[in-house]
Amino acid sequence: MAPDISKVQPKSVTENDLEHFRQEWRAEVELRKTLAQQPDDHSDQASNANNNTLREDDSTQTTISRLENVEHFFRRLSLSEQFNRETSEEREIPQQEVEYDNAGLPGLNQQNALSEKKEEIERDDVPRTALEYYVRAVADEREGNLNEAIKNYSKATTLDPDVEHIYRNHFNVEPRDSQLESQSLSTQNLVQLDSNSLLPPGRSTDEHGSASSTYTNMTLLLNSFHEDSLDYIPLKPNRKVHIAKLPNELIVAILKALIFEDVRGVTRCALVCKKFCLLSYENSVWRFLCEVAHRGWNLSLTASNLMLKNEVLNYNNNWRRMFIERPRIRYDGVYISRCAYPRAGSDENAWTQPIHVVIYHRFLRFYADGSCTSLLTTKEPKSVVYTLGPNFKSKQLMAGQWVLDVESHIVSIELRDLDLPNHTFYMTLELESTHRGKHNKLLLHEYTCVNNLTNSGDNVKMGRERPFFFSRVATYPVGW
Amino acid sequence: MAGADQKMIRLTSSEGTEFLVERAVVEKSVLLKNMLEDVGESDLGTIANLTLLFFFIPAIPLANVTGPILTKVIEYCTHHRDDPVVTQEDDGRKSSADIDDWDKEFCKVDQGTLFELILAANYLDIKPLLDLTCKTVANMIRGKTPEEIRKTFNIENDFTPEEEAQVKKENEWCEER
Repeated sequence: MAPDISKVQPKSVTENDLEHFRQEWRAEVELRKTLAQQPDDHSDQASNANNNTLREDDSTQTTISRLENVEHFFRRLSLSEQFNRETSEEREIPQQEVEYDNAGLPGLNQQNALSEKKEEIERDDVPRTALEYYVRAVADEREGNLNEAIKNYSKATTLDPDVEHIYRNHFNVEPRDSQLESQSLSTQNLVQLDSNSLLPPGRSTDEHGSASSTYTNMTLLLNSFHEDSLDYIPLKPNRKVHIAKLPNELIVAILKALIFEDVRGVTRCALVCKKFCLLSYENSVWRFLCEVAHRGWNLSLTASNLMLKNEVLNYNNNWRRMFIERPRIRYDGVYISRCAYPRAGSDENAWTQPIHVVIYHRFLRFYADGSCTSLLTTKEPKSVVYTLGPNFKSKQLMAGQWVLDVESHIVSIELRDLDLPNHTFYMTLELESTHRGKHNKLLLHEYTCVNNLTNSGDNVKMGRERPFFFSRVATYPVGW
Repeated sequence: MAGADQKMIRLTSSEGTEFLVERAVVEKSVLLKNMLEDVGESDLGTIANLTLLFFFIPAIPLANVTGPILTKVIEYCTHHRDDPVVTQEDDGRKSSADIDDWDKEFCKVDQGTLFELILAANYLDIKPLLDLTCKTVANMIRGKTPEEIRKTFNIENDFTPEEEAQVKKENEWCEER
């Protein structure tokens, strides 16, 4: 629930290094100064306290007075340096590097009135720890000061890369403590921390929601469109919107004509305007597509449609959802499995032992009529896919039939090789989806070869087989 | 009904222009075909007072179709008068790439005319013409980005940014590589 800081770039490594170096140098200078002076007990204590505070920024025991001491100390520390300008507030000293001060401390008497006055002003509204920067950033984000928010997020992450985590623990796990602590830590400028009000706006639950909640949200949005007036607004006011002549059912007819060629075209129409969006979700459009795309090739059209009509109930009667989710073999490309194995070579020279890496590909292309071809070759895909069609002839090419079981996502293939007339090959694969798209991965579960003469089966060795991944081939017709 | 196929039918466009069209051409329109058949198969005695003795039929008024559009429709129907009737099994499911050259040329009209043609084909129930014109429009959308589609049809984007983001997200599944 914490704001997304992934977009905020942490400071570059070199800058961090430089900063680190500065800190060390400063420490050394201070150390020398201190050796010339008497250590001060009071500030020693304070600095230790500061140490703790900075290291565990959620410690609740720190009192404001202690903090103030610590602040004075640090301000002086930095102001006494000639480059205090660059190393002031936004380059807050990282936690690990304050440890030098147990060797001794600078005297308090070196302060000058001017610097004290200055820090008095700054102290009140400048955050000091990573967490404070983070809290500030969240407040900025909520108010819409995105530039400030980004700056503060980046400062916070520079100080402590884990700040988001700390923030989460802090404000979500122990909201009550955090409230108390925040009051003691912050002066007036930080927002009054309240665990609920800290949740940034615009984060709805759909981020972690299931697919069905996305659908619900979309349905809500579409319903809201229904209530709007859905007249087209002309892009160029001096020209007519001719398409406005068409009633909805004729635009649906156009979408139906489109969807067989270009499903993506329909999903892009959804983004054109509200009216197109509504119509692109029209159930009949997707039903039309489903009846072809999910056609059981071994069924008659009527039987297939009846089967789909019963099945769509599993998808809330939403044909669009059924098209997307119901497992389907894709015809507009090829499934490729790339396998590689090392093979020890031999050499007359005893000093070297060459190893060959053998790479080969297994191609599986499916057709809407239930046939399929499989090709095993060492050639690269781009030299193969364009020629791999129904009439393609090659060695290691097998042709056969496929069946997809929708329930189990299992594709069963029966293949025959023209060069091996006595053998039939059976493949069992599982159809999966990846983050790249739906139904684009095939896992080879079983691969057997049956000798038709003796009727004896044999598992084909498949130690190195890799999953098949789908690649779209532009020249392949969609095929439905 | 012998010899009825050669009969000429008079159609009137919305402006009142009359068109004299062969019956075989007119029957490409399922609407008009049914109309004529209803009349033809009915008992002549009862319809005599209505309109139809074939030699003296008054023109059929088509209030929804303008003259120029009706001219185009008749041109289409005349060219395709001998085409077989499409069966239910494969209707509209052929690739839009297989539009023949004459049809392609026929559809090279401005957007206003094209949409009028769709309306006329729908009204007159001329399925092949409706399919052809819808495919032509579909081809205008095909492969285009939403922005390009808006330009094509002169439509302004009326989403709020949040709505647009949500619709985009919900349609992302199709934008795979």
